[in-house]
Amino acid sequence: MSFKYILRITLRGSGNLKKYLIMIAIFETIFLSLIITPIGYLNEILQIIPKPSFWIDSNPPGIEIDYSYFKINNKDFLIISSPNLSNAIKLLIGIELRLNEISIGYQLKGSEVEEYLKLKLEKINILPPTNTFLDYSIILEWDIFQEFSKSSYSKIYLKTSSQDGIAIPSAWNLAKDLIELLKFHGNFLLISLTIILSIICCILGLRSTSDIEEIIELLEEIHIPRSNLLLNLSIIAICTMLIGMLSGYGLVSIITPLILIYLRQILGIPYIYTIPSLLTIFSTFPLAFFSLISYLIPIIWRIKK
Amino acid sequence: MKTLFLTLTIVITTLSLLTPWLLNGAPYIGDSWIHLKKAKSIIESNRISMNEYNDMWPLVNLLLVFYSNILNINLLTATQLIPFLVSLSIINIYLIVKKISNFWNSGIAAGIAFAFTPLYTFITFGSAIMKETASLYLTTAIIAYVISNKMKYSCFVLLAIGLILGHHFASLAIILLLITLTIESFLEHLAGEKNEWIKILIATIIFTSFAICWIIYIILKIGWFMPINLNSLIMISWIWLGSYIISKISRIGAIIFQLSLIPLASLAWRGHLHNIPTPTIPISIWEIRDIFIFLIPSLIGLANYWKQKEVRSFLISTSTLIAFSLTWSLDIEGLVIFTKSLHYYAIMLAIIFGLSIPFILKRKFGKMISIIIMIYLILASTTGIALALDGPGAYHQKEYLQVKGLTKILSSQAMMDVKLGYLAEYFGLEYTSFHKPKPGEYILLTRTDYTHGVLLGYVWVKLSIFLPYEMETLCDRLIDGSYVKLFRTNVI
Repeated sequence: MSFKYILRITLRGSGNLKKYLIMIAIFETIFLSLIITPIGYLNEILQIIPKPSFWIDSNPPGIEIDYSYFKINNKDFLIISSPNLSNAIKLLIGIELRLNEISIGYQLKGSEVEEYLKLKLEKINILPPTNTFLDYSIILEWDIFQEFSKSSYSKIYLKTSSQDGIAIPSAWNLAKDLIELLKFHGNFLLISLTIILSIICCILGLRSTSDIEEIIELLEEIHIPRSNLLLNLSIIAICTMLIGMLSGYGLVSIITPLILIYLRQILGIPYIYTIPSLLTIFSTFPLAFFSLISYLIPIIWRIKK
Repeated sequence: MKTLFLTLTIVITTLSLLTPWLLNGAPYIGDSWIHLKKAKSIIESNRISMNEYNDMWPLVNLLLVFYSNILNINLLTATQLIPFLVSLSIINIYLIVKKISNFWNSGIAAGIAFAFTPLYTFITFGSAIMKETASLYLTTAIIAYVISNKMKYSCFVLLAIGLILGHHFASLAIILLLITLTIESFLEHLAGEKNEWIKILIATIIFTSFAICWIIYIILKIGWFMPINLNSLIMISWIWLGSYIISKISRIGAIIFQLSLIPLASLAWRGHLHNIPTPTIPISIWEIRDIFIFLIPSLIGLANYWKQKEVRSFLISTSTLIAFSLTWSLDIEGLVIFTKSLHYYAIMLAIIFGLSIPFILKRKFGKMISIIIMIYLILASTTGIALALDGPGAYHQKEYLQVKGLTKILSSQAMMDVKLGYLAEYFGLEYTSFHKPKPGEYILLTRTDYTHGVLLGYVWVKLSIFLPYEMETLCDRLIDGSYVKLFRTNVI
């Protein structure tokens, strides 16, 4: 009963609780727009640009791959091996393959290579199709490879982007770095906005004390204790904070895409928009929480007094 | 006086909605042929089958069967009862606006604005024989009933079942409206005003539960059918919340929001926004002028009646649908949702346009100005009507008869676009979709293939891409009708 009464009074008062709600929603909107839109753009770019999983160098470090050619009926067949074969294959095609001592690619199934190797070694493994050059290659364990190639083979080294701090110079990496940079700026922005919002909410809290006095007088008339008022006000303020947060998120969901569509129509900037993840709401929680505390502290102080 | 004006509005609307039938002699939009076939099969088999997408919302098929049997007319003629029902929704719009404003002339103005809105050509929707069109009368009836303050659950349940069996998107639009109206009523109740918020809440629960049950049944029967998924439902909720906040916080916010949404809706309708080739004629400066003449009174109406919770609820729910369609994607999926959303957005625009009339009437020469605006809107919409009548969705009697004639002579499979595909399906002709022709293949073409292009799904492609002129001249011209042409490739 007292909750409904207090809610009515706070909603009808000089509007400070409403102002508080609007304030949180606006700050959430600004923050999310500034953070989500550029990151959203860059994330989309990352989807478009093929991700380079490795690059090739003639010098170490990296995963060594040895290759050579094997002649059968005057035809050359590619032989591949590595001291770290399973890792090298995984890096090359992106999936792990079950390898035997001798494996041949799917396209070599039933070819002269299979017949020749069966005659020599009886048991060979045929790999599933991979849609890569491996489908046309012979993959050997390193010691068997040494026998086949008779020490005349070439070496290359596969390097991943993260290996030994080497970054592949590509648009993908650039976009990835930019996302990191934006995330850093996001944190900076979050701290600055939290401070600004907390100060504003503290002022709002101070201003709402005049409402509180009025409410205390009214409640005293109907014998509702101050502790009850504090509890109910805290519940209302927490709910208001949550509504403010969600409202900010809702505002971003509508304002950002509409602005982007207008920018596309007027300036020809491509329209890319993806809905931000739900986790983003939680990332803005500190901003709202500090503002809530800043809002409630002057009120509690006033009620205690 | 008001009865006379209301009757006149209904007559004008009916006439304009029947123009495709009266002038072209055939039902409008390809969907008509699907539902005609369904209705035919219901009459022949005496049972309703529930096997595929178009069976699952049987209202339109049942209406066709019902009117054909009761009035003892053929199914083709019975199709025109659907546009007639659409024109009767003017009565519901009249009731809605009259309830909000207490002015009968506002109701009439809203009816005219709905039928002759320059934002889009109403006949492309109202004249079509589709699930959406058949549901429009019930959609507007539910809105009028819910806001009437005289709601009885039994009547509401009947209306709800009718609409849920009518169309899924209409149900979604109503669910959004009811949810918004419930929240608005509840907040009003909190502020100390007496209203029937519990009644609206119960109505919302009833409608939503029925709709969900029916959708689950359909999904179990035919699998997933909706272009939207869980992600989009989450997105629509956020957009609803955003629209709610903007429209609720202040009058100015609501007006700015509409000012930003209406131009986008106009651009999207005329094919300037979505990334798909559609054969729409670019929007002219004169049409922009017409939109302005419609827009200014509408915004005045919104500003004057913004405080009414019903107005805000219409505004929020329909704007959510439009904003969601634009945000979701600017390709085919987005266009499908946008076109459906626009029908309900147009109702809201018509309502706020009608609400501007009391304001205009209070001015000097107000009566004259409002009459001039109405007449202007009717005349201005003739451009759109003319475009639609000759547009890619229009069928002609000759076209229909010529394809019908083919059933006796064409036994092989023919290649044709989606537009002719609907007719072929109706007549039981074997057909395949348009592709690069192979030797000895039959190609069936219609006039719009030359004037607008070949329809592939929602995309229009120039005929010359598939069939260059030189190639066409080398084909055997088997039938050279005024609309339909049948070729057979031989030297390709």
